[in-house]
Amino acid sequence: MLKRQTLKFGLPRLFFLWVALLLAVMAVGAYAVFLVFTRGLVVTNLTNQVPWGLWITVDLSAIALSGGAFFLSALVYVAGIKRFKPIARLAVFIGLLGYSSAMATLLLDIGRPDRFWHSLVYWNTHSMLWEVTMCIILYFNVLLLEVFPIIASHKFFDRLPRVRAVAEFVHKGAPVLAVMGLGFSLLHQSSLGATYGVVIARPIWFRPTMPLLFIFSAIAAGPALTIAAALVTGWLTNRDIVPRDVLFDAARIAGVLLLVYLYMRFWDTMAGNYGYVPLRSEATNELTRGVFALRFWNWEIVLGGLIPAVLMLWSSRSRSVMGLFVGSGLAVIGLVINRWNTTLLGLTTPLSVNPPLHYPLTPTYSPAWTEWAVAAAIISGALLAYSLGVRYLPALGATTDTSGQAA
Amino acid sequence: MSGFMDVLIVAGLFVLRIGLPLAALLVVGGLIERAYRRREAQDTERPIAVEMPVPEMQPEMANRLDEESRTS
Repeated sequence: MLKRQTLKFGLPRLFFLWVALLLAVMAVGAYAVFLVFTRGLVVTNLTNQVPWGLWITVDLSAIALSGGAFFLSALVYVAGIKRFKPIARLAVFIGLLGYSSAMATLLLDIGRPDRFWHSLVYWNTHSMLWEVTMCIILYFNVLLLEVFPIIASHKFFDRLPRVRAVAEFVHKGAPVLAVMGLGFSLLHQSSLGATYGVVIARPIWFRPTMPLLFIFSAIAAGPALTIAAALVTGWLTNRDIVPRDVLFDAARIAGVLLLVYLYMRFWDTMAGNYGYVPLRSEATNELTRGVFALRFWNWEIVLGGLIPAVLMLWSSRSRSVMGLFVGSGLAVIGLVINRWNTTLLGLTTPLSVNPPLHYPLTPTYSPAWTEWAVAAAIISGALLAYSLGVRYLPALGATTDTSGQAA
Repeated sequence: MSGFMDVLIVAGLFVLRIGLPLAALLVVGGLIERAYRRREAQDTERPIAVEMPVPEMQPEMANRLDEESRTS
């Protein structure tokens, strides 16, 4: 049983400690950000051979795990399943935090943060990354509009009736925003996969299935993160912010989608070994039998794919909260490992089939402390915003007692 | 000896990379399950707040019931 002691200034001790811990992690990360901004990417372990590492994994994972926002909103406003509204609202809030985290990570990862605005002015319409950038910026604005009524539900806005009126007007446009969000998300979630899929110089990436795999994994693991977040919040705040029946129903959908994704991922990977394809076969062997094998088989396929799908489907029938949490948590881990494997496999496998050239062309990578610190700080920032949101925003289930203190 | 060390290293890696995250998920999942069950139990044990008014028995009705119980 959690102790719910309250401090002198009205904040529960546990919540205060949690916020203090997150702020401490963010402070260390701020120092690492300072180093990156003043000295450049030389303070990281990113190189010309491995320019994408931990940060791009955080970025891709944050975007994919925010996929619950567009998918669940589409279920509510396009498919008309109104009972999913509470979980869609939470997913949209998580989505905004996810995209904020992704953009913060990218700001550091691009190497020249002062030129972040270039893609908006100097259009390169032949680039996948340009399309992804534009879609992410546009979708971020859609998410801001979707979250605005949620923020306006705070009692601070009681004294600002005009803001409330604007929020109500925006809320009435939720179906339009959901359709726009669906369009932008389908475009950039798939284009992120296509960013890898068009690179002919890396045969393990060069496949037409990459966009599909990225979309399906996002719409399976995105709702899973929302479910896990709703369960943890319900446990810590002692109230259901999303009705349990809705969580179980969402888990059933996520479980089926995860199975579909798993089927696609498994055959897509195994088809690489039907015949010898130069460099793709070597990379596939590295994934299934080499240094990536433990992560691939255990975390991606079994613990991050098969077991969570079965657990989510089983728990939606048996009403097991533990099964639901473990299943959704494993699905989230599986997605993060998938993005790590996808990125690193292409960058750390041989670029040549000429044996003498293997060694110098096969770089290795492990993140530097600065990368870990920045990644932890960005995740902590998102957790802090989430904690404050579910604590103080009535639209996310926060309650207010008679003294005006948020419960 | 090196074979034994290899087994140890693999086992250690397995525990670190698979066992610990899995154990963390199971522990948190168990705590969540327990908390939800406790809340459900509290909800079912809570007495119904509305008190039903008990109507007083009319004298005619009481007499008739008395007679019925005697004759039966």
